[in-house]
Amino acid sequence: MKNIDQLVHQRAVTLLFAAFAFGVWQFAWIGQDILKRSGGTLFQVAGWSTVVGAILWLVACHFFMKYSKHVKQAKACSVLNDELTQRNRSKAYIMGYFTVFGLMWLLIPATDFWNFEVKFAVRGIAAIGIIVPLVYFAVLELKDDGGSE
Amino acid sequence: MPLDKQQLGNRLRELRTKLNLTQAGLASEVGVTRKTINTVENKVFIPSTILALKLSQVLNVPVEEIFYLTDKE
Repeated sequence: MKNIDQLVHQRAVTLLFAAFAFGVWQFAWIGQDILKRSGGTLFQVAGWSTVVGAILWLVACHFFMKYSKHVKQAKACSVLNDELTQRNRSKAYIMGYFTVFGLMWLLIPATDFWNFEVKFAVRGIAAIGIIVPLVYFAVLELKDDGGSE
Repeated sequence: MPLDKQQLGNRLRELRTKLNLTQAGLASEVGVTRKTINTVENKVFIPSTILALKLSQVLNVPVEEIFYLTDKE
């Protein structure tokens, strides 16, 4: 059975992996849609990257289930949701909210300077809105730990 | 003294070691992660009143003996 420290670490690593997998999957998919008309090698690369990203996402889901099983075995559900975790989660949500909010506001003047499809930009921002809180929460969970005493 | 010039100090490490408790041991007694105890001891995280009271119960000392106000470093 895993101890609480190991579960905290496992959660952070799983979230980082999930964020990476989701990023590869979504941005490759957006890239594939952008390059659809032009075709060529880059389109092929984006297509394969989308497949790889989707597989990585499935692997991340498997890791989540494995983590959840470990938490149930250790009966550590409430300990792993203690007040420090709740504070870190709130900070991560706020960070995600302001990132998306900021990017949406940047998108409006950006359309005046560059000619691009807003739909793809919005999809990218939506993906960032999921990735940023995941990564930030994992970083908060891993940092400021002076080690076991 | 204005509140923004003060911070919460604590004697958690001192009281914990007096009872031969590890951070993980104390964390398990109060139902939090070891990192929460670690960040409280290092003044990174200010605990809630509930956690402060739980700590005082486990360490068997009044809350004021664990936590105190101090000038910001």
